Amino acid sequence: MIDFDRDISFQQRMLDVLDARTKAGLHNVANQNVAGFKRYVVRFEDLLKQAETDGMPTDKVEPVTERDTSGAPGQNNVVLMEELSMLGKTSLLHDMVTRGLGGYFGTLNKAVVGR
Amino acid sequence: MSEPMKGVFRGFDIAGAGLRAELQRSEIVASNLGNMHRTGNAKNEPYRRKVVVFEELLEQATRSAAEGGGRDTLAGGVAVAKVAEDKSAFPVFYQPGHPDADENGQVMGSNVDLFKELVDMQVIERSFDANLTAMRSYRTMLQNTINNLRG
Repeated sequence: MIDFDRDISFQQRMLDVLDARTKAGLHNVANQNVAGFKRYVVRFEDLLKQAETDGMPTDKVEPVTERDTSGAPGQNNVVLMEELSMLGKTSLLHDMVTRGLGGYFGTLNKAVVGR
Repeated sequence: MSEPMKGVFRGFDIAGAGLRAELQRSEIVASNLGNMHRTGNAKNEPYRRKVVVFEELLEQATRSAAEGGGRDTLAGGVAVAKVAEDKSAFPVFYQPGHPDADENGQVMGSNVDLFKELVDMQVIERSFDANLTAMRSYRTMLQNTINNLRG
């Protein structure tokens, strides 16, 4: 059976999260030499987990972009190695999600075109 | 709610802004190195070391009516805020016969410190590489999206 109406809204949201996270990483790396800069973080997984434990609907959870205010006030809190490894991890995750989606669309395509 | 990380190709602009800012900084370091032997006398000041000050770049964008209107603050990377001057004192060395020497043979030199500039140059190089690596990571992500979702 081909499920034409599989719900891919979670994958959509996840791609948005990973894209935003990469841009946050780029922004943090670009600002590594700015005095007093506080890094951006994109929160999603912990919010999702929180909604799950609270018994709230998980399909309403949206990613939140906020400043990580850790470190002394007025001190830059970008750690280059952390940002770069985060970028690598995000890139891999992004590859995984798109592969999953590609597989699904490929199946649909086969079902429609027949090859 | 403001979404600072909007837009598909914006990642390149952000990393590009980082590359541009680091390049500008390296130009100032080159200028410091080039002028480090410019001495001064009673009339003219010797060369003053220049320092680049960076600032975070946040861009304002108007949200379309379809998205509910309002304004968005977008992350835009980094920019050179200003090129300031190093206010530290000029070193004085004894070199009688120098065209800029005073009656006691003292010459006022530039306050550029060669080793400081060389270390700065290293830092700039590493920062430039980091921005480039981050940009490459974003590029790989978009490339994978295209490859994986090709029918």
